[in-house]
Amino acid sequence: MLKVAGLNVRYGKSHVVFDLDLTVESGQMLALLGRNGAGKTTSLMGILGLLPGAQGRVAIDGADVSRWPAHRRAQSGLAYVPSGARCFPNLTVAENLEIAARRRAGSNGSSSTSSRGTSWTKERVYELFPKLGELQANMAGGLSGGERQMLAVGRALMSNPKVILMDEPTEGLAPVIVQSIGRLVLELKQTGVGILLAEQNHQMALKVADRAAFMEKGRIVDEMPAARAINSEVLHRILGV
Amino acid sequence: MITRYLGPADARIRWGIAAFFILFAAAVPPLAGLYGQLNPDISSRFEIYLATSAMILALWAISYNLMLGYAGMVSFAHAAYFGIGAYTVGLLFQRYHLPVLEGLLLTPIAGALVGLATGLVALRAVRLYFSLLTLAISQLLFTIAFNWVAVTGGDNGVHGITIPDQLSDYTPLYYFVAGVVGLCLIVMFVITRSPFGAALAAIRENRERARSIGINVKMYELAVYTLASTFAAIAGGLFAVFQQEAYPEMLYWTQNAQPVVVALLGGTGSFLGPAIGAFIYTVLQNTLSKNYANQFDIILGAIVLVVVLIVPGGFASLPQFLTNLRNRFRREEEPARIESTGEAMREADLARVVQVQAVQAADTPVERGEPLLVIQDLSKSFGGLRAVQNVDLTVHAGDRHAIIGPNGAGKSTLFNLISGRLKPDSGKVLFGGRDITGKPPHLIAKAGIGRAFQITMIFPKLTVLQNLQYAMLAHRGYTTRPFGFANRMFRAEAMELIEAVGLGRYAALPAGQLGHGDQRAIELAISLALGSRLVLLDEPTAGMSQYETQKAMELVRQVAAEKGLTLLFCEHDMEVVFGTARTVTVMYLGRVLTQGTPEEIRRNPEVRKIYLGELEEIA
Amino acid sequence: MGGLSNAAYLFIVAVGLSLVFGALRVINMAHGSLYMIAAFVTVVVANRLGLALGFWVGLLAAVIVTGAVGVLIEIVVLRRVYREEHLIQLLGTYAVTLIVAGAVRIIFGSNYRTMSPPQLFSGSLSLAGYRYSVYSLFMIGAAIMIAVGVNLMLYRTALGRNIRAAVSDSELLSASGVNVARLFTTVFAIGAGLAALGGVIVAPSQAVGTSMDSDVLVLAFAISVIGGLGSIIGSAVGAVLVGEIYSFGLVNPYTNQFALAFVFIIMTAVLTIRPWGLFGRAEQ
Repeated sequence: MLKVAGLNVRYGKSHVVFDLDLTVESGQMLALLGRNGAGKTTSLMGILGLLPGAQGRVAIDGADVSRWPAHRRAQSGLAYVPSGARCFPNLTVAENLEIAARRRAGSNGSSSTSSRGTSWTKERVYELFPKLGELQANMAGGLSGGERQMLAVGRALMSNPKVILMDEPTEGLAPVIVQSIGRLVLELKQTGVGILLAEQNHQMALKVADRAAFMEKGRIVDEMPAARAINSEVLHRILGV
Repeated sequence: MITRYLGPADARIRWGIAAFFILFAAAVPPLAGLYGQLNPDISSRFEIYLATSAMILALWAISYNLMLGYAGMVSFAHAAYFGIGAYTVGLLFQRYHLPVLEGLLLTPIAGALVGLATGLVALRAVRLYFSLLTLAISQLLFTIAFNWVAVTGGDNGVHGITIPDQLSDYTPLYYFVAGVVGLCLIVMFVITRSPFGAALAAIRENRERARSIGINVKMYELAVYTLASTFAAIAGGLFAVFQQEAYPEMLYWTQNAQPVVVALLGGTGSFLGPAIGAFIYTVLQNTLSKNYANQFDIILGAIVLVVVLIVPGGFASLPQFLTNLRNRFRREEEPARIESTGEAMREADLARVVQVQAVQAADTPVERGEPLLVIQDLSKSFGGLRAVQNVDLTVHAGDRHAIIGPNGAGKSTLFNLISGRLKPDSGKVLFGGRDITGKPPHLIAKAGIGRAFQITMIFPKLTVLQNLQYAMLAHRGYTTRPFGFANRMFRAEAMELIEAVGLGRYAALPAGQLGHGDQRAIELAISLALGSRLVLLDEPTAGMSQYETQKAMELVRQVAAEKGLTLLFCEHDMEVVFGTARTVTVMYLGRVLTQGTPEEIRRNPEVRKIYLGELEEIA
Repeated sequence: MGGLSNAAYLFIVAVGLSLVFGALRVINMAHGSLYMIAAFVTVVVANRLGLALGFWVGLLAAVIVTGAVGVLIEIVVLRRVYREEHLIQLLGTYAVTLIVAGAVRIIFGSNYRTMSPPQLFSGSLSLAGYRYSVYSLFMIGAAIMIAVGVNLMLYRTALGRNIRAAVSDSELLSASGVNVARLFTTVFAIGAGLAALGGVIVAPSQAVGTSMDSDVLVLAFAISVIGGLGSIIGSAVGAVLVGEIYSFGLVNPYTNQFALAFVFIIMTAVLTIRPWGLFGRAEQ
């Protein structure tokens, strides 16, 4: 679904991400684990096409998008849930959702992606998060952390993506909300969406992920099934647990 | 990013160019005379005339560059101060028959007074709004010069200023102007290299960091603004002596194009760059504006565009630019540089850091174990979000006090309230018995609270050594000094500390080029170098490997123990917290949940629930 | 009344400046230059085609020419400076003002030019015992229509929604599938169009000359800074304030020399108390 090969990111003279290779299958989730400053966010932004200093191959559903600007990658099925549940604070909740609204990209409708055929609309997002429906005319800037996180996920869904890139969606949220995000992510996987999750919170991540990749100093140092990662030496070493 | 880092080889070339330039300036009249003899149909006086106006322009542009290049401020009022200098000479002569040379002596006073008064207003705002305010001030001054006919002569300006006979010929006038300009340049040069100049560089590089090392940013900006207008007024006074007139258009805001273009053309990153720019500009203007007056504006615009978009260093960086270009065409790699791997901490010598003299807590009248920092009922909201609610917290002298809590618990906000970056809505912060609630960051830094930030906050284009030197200068109050060479001060102490934390090899590199972990190490070193009694560390080891983390915390622990520092830190890594802290406070949703020894906290069921084992039962 | 008709064209120019700043975070020093280009194009076209049609054809020509120049400026200069500090943006667009000023003098010459108002709006009108020039009323009407139009565009269209989104987070916007580069060009073109409308509307009421770029720029800055950069309401309030203060100063024989000075004193006073303007938001 998403295939990244040899991604390198440089900021000016400093090299931040080195030869990143990763694959996210449809309906699967890859957790990208590492400390602050390991290069997780930079990797996501590089894949999304948001960094001019990124080089390497990125393919979505087999189509090479390496030379495409960010908005075309988004249109072809990549969605982003940024860290801190960033949203457009001066727009209403409804506008935040509308802005990403897009019909299902690549209408070839391969069986795996259209297992739950109907596409996402504002109404379906409100069904999923009734709270957002109540707040639809409110400015997003006034939402609580948890509500903003729902909005960020809802906005990503509105583009009917093939792959969602999530950057620390549990950061700063109360445990109850973290759990509901965990459940949501599991549900999303069921619909055939691929998920790339960058996290420091390995407990949540490893419970819902299929595979885990460990990042240190801009490189992926190890990759393995999530179940095995929970007790791995590399988890202990990198995240210090 | 107007200034570029220049290596030592470039520095030697630049001194060479500067020496050549000074010699050339001294030899203009004889050279012009020679030229005149070889070409009898050309008057040598014209060349001397041009050189004189170039000299004045150079002074004006270099004074502009004090703001633009050294402090990163764009002003649109600089022409007004130039005009004020000219009017000072002109009006005093016309109304009170004051000889022009005495008038010239009064120009710096006039420039400084008007600059100070208007600067006080303009610096109410920062950056963009500052620039727009200077534009308003500039037009206000222009309107006065243009419309207050009774005093200024209005549209006509002041004409017929007579100068002493000794100066009436071109060559002596040239040497007189060159002498005054030279004197001013020496004064400005000394200032830019002084601790005061170092403070300006720190502000340009990182305002926030500059505040936290104890620099009163607004004060320094006002000082440099006043200085720049003082020298601009001298340049304007020289213009009035030279041209024997002053007119209102001199003050019009579009006139600022001249110093801006000249400074950019010559290079804002070097002291004499604008002087060279002034000579190029004058030659260009005289060859082009005679026949192509309208095209001249277009050429000026094109020069500014090219410099801004393509060669940000101006003429002074041309050699470097060409080298880079050549390398790019030949597809050569950049010459081998020392690569910073971001692992300096591995080489840190803890025993040595503790020995470093510079790391010394200031004396405060608080005994070990007594309350040093007392926070009472502190609250802060952002819109509807209550980030910190009714927090009470006491940090005892000599303690290592950790604050933990999930993200969004209010830890960073609390730190920002203590360090003065944010003002609380209500409540009190007492430090060593003194009320520091809502005080500006530089005063809190001076009072003895140092800080390392969560995101790396260093001065990226200054060298590692300068980062430490300037922090020491600022904290010990040397930065008000406009003389002495800042780069030679605290060199040994700074170097000692740099070597002790394992950064010795990188001392001469711009700090921004170092790896993430090494930048964290600089950050830590800066906060230790400030001689603070209380050090706030906001996730000090974020982004460090486990080994480096241990080492960094060991360092912090030792320094604290040996030097009597008090630590207040927040950290996500529980191992770090329980390994370092003696007191732990838990925050949750903006409130203090509980406080105790690490053991008590570890056993507290409530804490376990919300924080330590928060995710046990997911999915 | 003179105050309000001044406020009208100043508002049209200032709202363009403010819109561009709001979305692109760039102060466009060349905004006055775009206004000047439009005024010259209008005068030249109008004087050639005569009273009946000249103004309207001139309007069309001016908006097209200015819009095209605006797009060119955005692509050549602004795109390269969005990520830079304010300093670079100020100097880059300042360079454009120098280039345009030279080009206008070469193309149109340095003489002042005048034109008459279009036939439809010539003459004057009695209302409640006072006589008003019809063209002044037209200017005020046009400004109100533009204010309403800009507001509708911003709050009732997808384009406006995207512009508002770009104000807060252009990176997230492009990750949401919106072509931000094209959006920015569009916004700048709209800003240029507003500068052009200001220039067109002012052409029959003032002499058109080569210093009008910096004259209007300074006033437009004063207005948008008083009102708060990026705020439409702020631009309107600022324009009325500046327009009225200016004409009030002119009417009084003791103060008419300093009419302009009053404007800057007010601007300085507002910025001293609220550095981000009356309706603006404090920058972080």
